[in-house]
This record gives sequence, structure tokens and C-alpha cells, in this order.
Amino acid sequence: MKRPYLENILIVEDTPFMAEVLKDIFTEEGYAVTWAKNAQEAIEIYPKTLPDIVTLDIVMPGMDGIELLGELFKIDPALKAVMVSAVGMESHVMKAISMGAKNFVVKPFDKDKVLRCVRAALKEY
Amino acid sequence: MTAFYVKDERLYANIPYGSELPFTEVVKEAREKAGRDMQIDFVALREAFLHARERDFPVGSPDPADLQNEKLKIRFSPDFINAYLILFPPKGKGRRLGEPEIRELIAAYGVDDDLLDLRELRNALMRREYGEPILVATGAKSLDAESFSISWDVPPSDPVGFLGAVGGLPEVPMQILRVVRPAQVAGKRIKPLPGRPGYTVRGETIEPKPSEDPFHLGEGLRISPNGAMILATARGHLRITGDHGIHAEVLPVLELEGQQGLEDICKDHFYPGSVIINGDLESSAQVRVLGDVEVRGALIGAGVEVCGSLFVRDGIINNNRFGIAAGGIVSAGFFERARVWSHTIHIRRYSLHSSLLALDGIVGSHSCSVNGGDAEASGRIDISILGSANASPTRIALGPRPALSMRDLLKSWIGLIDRFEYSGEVVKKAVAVERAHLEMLFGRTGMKTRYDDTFIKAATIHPGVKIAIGGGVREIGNKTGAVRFTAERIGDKERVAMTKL
Repeated sequence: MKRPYLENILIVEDTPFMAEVLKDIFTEEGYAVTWAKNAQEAIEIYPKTLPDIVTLDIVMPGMDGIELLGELFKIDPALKAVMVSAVGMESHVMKAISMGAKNFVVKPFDKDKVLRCVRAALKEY
Repeated sequence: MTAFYVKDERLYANIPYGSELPFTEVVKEAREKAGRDMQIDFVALREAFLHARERDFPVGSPDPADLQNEKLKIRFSPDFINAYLILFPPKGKGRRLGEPEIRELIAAYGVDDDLLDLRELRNALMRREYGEPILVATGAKSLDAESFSISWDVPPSDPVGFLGAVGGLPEVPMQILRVVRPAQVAGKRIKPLPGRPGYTVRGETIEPKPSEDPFHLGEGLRISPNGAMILATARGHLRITGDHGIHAEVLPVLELEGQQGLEDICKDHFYPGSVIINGDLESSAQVRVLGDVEVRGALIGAGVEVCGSLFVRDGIINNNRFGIAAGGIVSAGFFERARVWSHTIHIRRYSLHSSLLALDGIVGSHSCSVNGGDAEASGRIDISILGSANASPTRIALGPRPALSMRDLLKSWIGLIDRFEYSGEVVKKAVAVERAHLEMLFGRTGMKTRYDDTFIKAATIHPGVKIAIGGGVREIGNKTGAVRFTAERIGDKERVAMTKL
């Protein structure tokens, strides 16, 4: 169910197609979405918008999602992040979870699972 | 710079409005201030940064167990009229928050304590539905001021305004076109009630939208010094157009007791104003008028070309030789063997063996009828009774003929206006306005091939009536009650669908 207030999501994803898929899923549900196409852009955007939640692609050129997660925690220790990974990246996902990420979703995206993950994370303090 | 201070063994932050300080710096300052003695709740610090500027907001405690306690957030609707409480469960050995603590936190978000719905809040605390937003405070939306309105004594003379005012009535006011003199009151301007301010849940005032004056007064009119009246500044026809009469101007007017001299005045050009004939019009030639025409009698055998509207108190009879054409509405009590082309045709009582073509619609009063002849529109046809008990052949259609006929006519009118040299500033302005109106109408005469958005509606249809929409035709064999006809396509075939009302 859509919330009566606005919640912001920052998508960090280097593949425009994947970013579009996530953007469509979230905007359909009434979330406000911002897209950062790499880690550098995410570090610039994050402090300006302080989104309610961030989805982080693990594999990105330059700084990867795990490293970026650490950088974003320095900016905002209360950050909520959901990791986005391909199949077979369990070790990376576990590392991110141990660093404080709330959950993870695997590509290709299952709309219901993505939304379940994000909603569950947003329901936490 | 953020102010941090300790009160009752708790760390509070007060972050100013418009602070250029990035959140990273606020976190750093909080860490420095907290030192080793205080545990910082970074979620609370973030909440203070985002939602509680310039308010004392608890962000830390010396007891690490406090961070395990039940938590809350307040979220606001985009217009800040509603505030929602979201509770988060305690962790480990954390405890539930009491009502005073919760109310203190809600107040820290800026929610006005007087606006709190304590019953709802207490219910929420009883239910403890974690993670679900609960409406706990509501402000009030502002009530925008109404727009100004003007009370005119006569109905507008354009199709939309006229039909809106008197469309369903079998009789119209005694005088539709009104002549005003300088300093005469043309209309009463009604000042609307002012709006009412609203307030957000944070107690901020929401200003109502101020009153708007949607009326456009053209030549020959002004607002009285006290703002309560519209006064005429020239003699002429008070021409009101637009839905609710939002445009008004004073046009030159020719008032005649009969038709004498009329043909000479507008023989080879449009008379640049309106014409009122206090009696019958029985001309043997064409009459051309730029504004509106009102015949306070019958129009017998005469031809009239009017860029605006034509109102005939009695009826239009036997004008097959010349025909009547209007860029606005043609409204008459009856049409007998009449030939009319117009933007809209309004039948107050009946049409008998006439040929009626309307670019937009043919509509009538609640008891009007079309008996014999043909009526074709590009928009809609809404007539109470179609045909007659003696099955006289009557064709009712939605098709391209009105657009094709009006197209050539409008083109010739624009050419006629351009060829004639009008004099006087007021006249030139009126001519320019009417020319633009004709150009707009001309733009609407494009070839229409589908009639999916149009309909023919009637309360009674007699046998002998042929209904045509686009390429589909339906002949009525039996008397029918209230129905609506629409276009229907089955493959390439067009049909007329009939729906009972």
C-alpha cells in the first residue's frame, strides 16, 4: 500500500537498463527516486538528499558497491542500504550485510521481492 | 552551527534552519560533543537534521540500553496537513516509551500539541502496530476565495454561454440583445466571500488563494469606482460571451423598427456591429452582420449571414432561396422550410421540413421536435422528438456536410472582411476580434472521418426517421422511447448502435 508521505530512494547502478527497471518498480509504488550512475556520483548526491534507502549495485567500474557502502556509512551512520548483486556473489553480499546493509536482491529483478526488501528495510528504525 | 547540549542526562541537538552545514559535519560535531560518555542515536540525529530544524531534539544518552528502547518517527503529508506516527519495537532489553516521552518527541518534530488527536494516539499506543503509519495530528486546508462573478440581465450570445443559460427552455427572455447607454449599469459585480487561511500540523499558516477576476471587459465598459458595477462608456449592444459571461464589450448597434434601409447598410460588406429588428424581417436580399442579430418577430424569406449569433423570437420561415448562416448560434422558436448553416442550432419548439447543418450541435428545448427534412451536425444532436406520427421522412445525421459547407462559407467571409476598409478604432477592434473568431472556426472545419465521440439522442422517435452516423445508417421502423445512437465499427463496417436510456 502506498504511504501517505513521500519516501526517497537512491539507486546506485551503472547499467542504465537495470536502473530504469528499478526506477519503474519504485515510482509505480509512489517512491521518489534518484539515480546515481557510479560511486562518485552517489557520494555527491547522498549528503544532499539523505534518502530513506539506497540500493547499491555491488559490481561497478571504479569503486565497487562494498567500498561505496563503507563511504556512505561515513557520511550517514544511519544509512539503510539494500545490495543488488548477480548470482554467485554470496561472499560479497555477506560482507555487505556484515557491514550493515539491510538486505540484498539478485538480478534479474523480481518486482515483488525488490519491494518486499525495501519495505522491510523502511519499516526498521 | 549545530548546538548540542545535555539536559536531564540526555544529549540534545538544535540544528538551525538554512544551515549550510552538511550532515557529515553534524555527525562529526555530535561525535565530538558526545565523547565517550554519550551514545549517539544517529537515526535520531538524521531525523533532527531532516525534520526538526531549530528545535531541541534528543539524539543521545549516556545509557547504551536507551538505544534499545522503543523508537518513533513522525512523517508528514506533502502539504504538512497531516502528521503520521510510526512506532518501532524495542530491541533486547529495551523498554516501551510512555505517553509523556512520545508526546515530547512528537513536539520535537514541531507538531502542535493542540492539534494532536490524543484518542488516536492512545489507541495506537494500545495496539502498538509497529512500522505502520498512524494519523495522529491534522491541520486544516485553506479555503480558497471564490472568483468574482457578474450578474448580467441578459444571457450570453455565444453558443456555450447561451445554451448554459437558457438551453433547455422552450421560451427565451423577451430581449436577448440589450442596448446600453453611456453611464448605464451594464452588470452588477458580485464580490466573492474571502477565503479562509489554513494551518499545518506545525502551526504554520497556509494563506488562501486570493479572489480572481476572470472577466475580460472589452471596449465600451468599465468597472465603477466602488468596484460593484460594470458601467457602459458608449452606446451600443452589450455583447456578452463565454461560459458564465466572462467576456463583454459594447458593439455598435443598429435598432430598426422594420427592415427598412438594412439592405443598403450591409449590401457588400458586414455591418460592423449588431442589429436588432423590432418586428419581422422580410428581406428579399442578403443581410450581413458582424456581431449578433435579434429579430423580435419572424424571419420570413430573408437571407442572413451573421458572424456572431442570430436570435429569432418567433420563427424562420421559407428562406430556402437565400439561407441563413451564422458563426455562433441560431436560436428560433420554430424553423419551417428553413435552410440554416451554423456553428450551433437551437430549436425551441419545432423544425418542420427544414435543412439544418451545424458544425457543432443541433440541440433543443425539453419538448422540441424535428419533423421532416434533414438535420446534420458534426458534433451532437439532442432533440426531444424525431419524426412524426404520420411517418414523414426525416434524416438525422452526424457527418461531414456541415464542416464542408461551413469551410467555404467562412473562407468567403474572411475574404469579405479583408476586402472592406472599416473606419474607427472601436470598429476596427471589433472587426479584428470577429475575424479571429472566424479563423478559429475555420480551423475546426477539417475533415472528420470518425464519429466515436459523438451521439444522437432523443426521447421519442417515430417511424420514417433515418439515423446516419459516418457510414452507418439505421432506419426506424417502430416508435421508440428514449435512446442514444452512437457509431459502431465491426471490422471495416460502420453501423449505428442504439442504446436505450
